[in-house]
Formats: sequence, structure tokens, C-alpha cells
Amino acid sequence: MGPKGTDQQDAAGLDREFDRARDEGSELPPDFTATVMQRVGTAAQRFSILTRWTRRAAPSRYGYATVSTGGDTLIKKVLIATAAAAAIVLGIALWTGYPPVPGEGTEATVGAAQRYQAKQMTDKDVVLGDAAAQTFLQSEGFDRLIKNEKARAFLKKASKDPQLLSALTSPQFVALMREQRVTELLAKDNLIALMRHPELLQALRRTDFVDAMHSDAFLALLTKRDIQAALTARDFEAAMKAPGVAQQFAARDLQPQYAALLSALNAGLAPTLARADLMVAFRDQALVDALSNVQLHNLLTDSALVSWLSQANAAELFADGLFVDALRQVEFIDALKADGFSSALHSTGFEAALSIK
Amino acid sequence: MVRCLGGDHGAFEPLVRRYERVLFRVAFRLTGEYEDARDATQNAFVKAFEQLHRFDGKRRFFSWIYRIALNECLNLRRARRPQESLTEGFAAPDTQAGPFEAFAQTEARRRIDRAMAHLTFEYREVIALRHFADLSYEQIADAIGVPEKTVKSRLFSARQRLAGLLGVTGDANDGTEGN
Repeated sequence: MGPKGTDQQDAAGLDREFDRARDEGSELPPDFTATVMQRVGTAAQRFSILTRWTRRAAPSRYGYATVSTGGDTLIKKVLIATAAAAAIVLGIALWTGYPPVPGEGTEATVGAAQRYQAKQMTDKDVVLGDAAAQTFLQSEGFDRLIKNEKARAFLKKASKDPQLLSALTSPQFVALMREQRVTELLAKDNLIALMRHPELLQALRRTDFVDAMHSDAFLALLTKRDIQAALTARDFEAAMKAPGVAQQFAARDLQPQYAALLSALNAGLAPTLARADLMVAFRDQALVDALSNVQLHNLLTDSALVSWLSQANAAELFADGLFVDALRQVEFIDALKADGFSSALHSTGFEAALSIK
Repeated sequence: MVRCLGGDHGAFEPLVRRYERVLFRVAFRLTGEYEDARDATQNAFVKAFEQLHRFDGKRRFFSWIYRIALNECLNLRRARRPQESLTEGFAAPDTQAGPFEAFAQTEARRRIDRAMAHLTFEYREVIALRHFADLSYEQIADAIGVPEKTVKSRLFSARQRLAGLLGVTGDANDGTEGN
């Protein structure tokens, strides 16, 4: 570097070169702005509801002054309800494999299936002010939901499917969302894998599932620790993925049966219940009646008996009409209740007697 | 910006008009190709619009969109054959200048282009931002994510190297004082 005077002269030489070249060849095309805006318009049309929602929420997140453009409240309500309901659906569907429970009192008796007529959601059903929306947006659950790729994919799917959207935004789901015991279940991630099962998603579109899942009986069922343990067990998860299982769960005429079975369920029986061949056996109304019997119901909480029922041949036994008939008889039920029955059942002598017969 | 996020995408147009020229100039100097610069700048605006909800309002908008445009330039540059990079002239659009002035400008631009082609990308970047986008040291530092001090030293070296390549009696001091 030379003396200061020379430096300035040299710098001026270089700057003159820049000045000469500054604008040359870099004029914008005349249609530049119009082209950008046209592309922007196209991009805006492709935004999903979720993206629009996220964009609307951004100004408050970054502390900008917000400007209402109309329709914000409605879209906020729909989106919040959808997001929350979808989370619930995901959680429950994944944990339970869609157990339909028609209503109260299903622990002991099974009545005729009640078809549920879903009502359209109104503003009165979902009241979420700005504060509620803000709280939800900042909640850990929302954060988890948004960060979960599969959940986001599901939300996008739901936003484009009117049937699914209608089911998810029903007041029942919104009410379910407020159940702490349900949100606690949502904290478990290991069953997210079940989302991959397309039949489960199809079943979600059914309004009777919506009805079943918001019932008190179902919610009570969810609180049972052993049920939760069973439903989150790896083998149950594997069984749920088996071809045909979801279809069986979705079968309309099986729903009341499941209501009874699940109310009598304990941890050991869950994997067995998920077997497709056993599902077929449950189509037998007599068997369902038997399983709905209070005494038998109590028996099903016996670990030894459940252990036996969970064995591979249990399905075969259920499919046998004789066993079903036997279950209808008080004597047989009494015998089942007798002390030592379950151990006798496992004895070699009992097996030998059966062989001779 | 708030209106834009609220669904009025037409509100994005003032932002485009405000930054299109400076971004295009920089992109042009970085890519050396008119079409690439145009595409990179347009892509940058569209991506900025799509990701506008991620923009932190505490930052400078130019710095944010510049990073997007820079990535677009780099992507286009990678997709191009290396030997075509920043070496030869291009079919520049007509200018309003007279024939002699236009010739002089074209020659100057070609000299700069050829010289800049021999600079590293980092040097080209600071030269483009300082001398073709008229940004201050502070703005450059914010845009490229380095301290202001680094910008100054990098620009000094870039100018020194460029002066040597252009054959001007090359001192590297920035022609302006301060910012």
C-alpha cells in the first residue's frame, strides 16, 4: 500500500471500473415483477389449510401487529379442531385398533347396535378464542404434532378429504380432545407406526367409530393400566398390522361384540383378540352373549384362564359351537369358577381324559 | 408482510419491487449469466414468499432473501458446466445509452467479468454486494453471516486481487470511507 494520496487515486481507478460496469447488462427483464407475482399467485393456491394456518399464526409468533383479513376465526376453529381431533384419532386408533363401544353399560350387556348420526359441528360446539388458539399453538402437544412428519401428512390428507374432515371435526372429537386421560395416551409414540395401515384410516371415516370412541365406556376402558399395556405391546401392534385384522375391526356387525369383549379384556388376552380367525368366531351372537355375561366377564379377569385363552388353540375353541353352547349353561360357568379349575385344565390327567374321549 | 401472511399475496409485490433490482444485480455478478440471474432471482422471491412465515421479523429482510438467492445461484452454478462459468460475455439487452457509451460500458463490464471470474466465490460475493448492490459493511456482514471486520478484510483482499487483474494501479482500499 502506498501513501494515502496514491491509495485514493488507485482506489478511484478501480471504482471507475465498477461505475462503468455497474448497470451494464444487468437490467431486469420488463416482465420480471409480473412473472414473479404470477408464480407467487400459483404458489399461494397450492398452500394447504395447514400452511395457511401456520402463515396466519406467524405474525403473532414474531410479534408483528396482526391484521385481520376476515375468515380467520373460522379457519382457526376448523384447523385447531382438525389438528386436535386428528391427534386424538391417531392416538386412539393406534392404541386401540378401533374398539367400538356403543354406550354406557356395555361392561355387562350388549344391546342392539345403535347407529350414530353425527351432527355437523357448529360454532357453539367449538369455542376457541384467540387466547385458546394461542395456548394451543404454543402447547407441547401441538409442537409434537407439527414436528411429526406422519402426523403432518395425516393432517394434510384430512384437510383434503371432506368425509374424514367431517368426522374429525365432530363435537365428540373435540370433547375427547379435552380428556386428560386421552391426551396422556397421546404421549406414547411407539404406535405411530400403525398409521401406515391404510385400512385403519379408512375406518376413521365412519361416524359410528366416532360415536364409539367418545363413549364413557370406552374412555373408562382406556384408563385401565393393563389395557394400556396390552394395547401398546409389540405383539399386539404386530397383530394389528396383519392383513384382514383392521377389516374385521371395521365390520359393522362386529362392533357390539367388541364393546363387550373389550370391556372384559385384560392384558393377556389382547394379542389373541387381534387375530383374524378369532374375529370370525366372534360373529357368533351366542358367544357374544356369553362373553357379556357378568359371571363370565369376571372370569375373564382371571389371569390363569386368560393365559389359557390366549394360547394358539383358543381361537379354534371359540369357533367350536359346543364350547359356545357350554358357555350358555350355568353349570359350565360354575365349573369354570370352581377353585382349581384352571390348574386342572392344564393337568396331564385332564388332557389324557380328553384324548380317550 | 403481515397482510401477505394473512392471505393477501398481492401484498408481496412491493417487496418484490423493492429488492428485485439489487438482488438481480448481485445474482448477475455471481452467476455471470443473464438467464441464470433472472431465474435465480425469481426463484428466490417465490421461495421467500412460500417460506415467509419462517422469516424472523427481527432480522433484515434483505439478508434473509439474499441467502435464498445465493443458494439459488449456487444451485444454478452447480448445474452448469464449469467452463461456462463467468468467463465470456452474453447477449445483454439493449440499453438506453448511445452507441459509443454502450460500447465503453460493455467493454468495462467484460473486463470486470473476466477479472471477477478469477476471484474466489467469497471475493466475488463481497465485491458484488459492495459495488453492485451498494450495501454497507454492516449490511454485507449481516447478509453473508460474518463479522463486519471480516467483510472489510475480505473486501480489501478482493479489491487488491481485482485491481491486479484489471491492470489498474491497484490499491485495495474501498473507494468509499466507512459505510
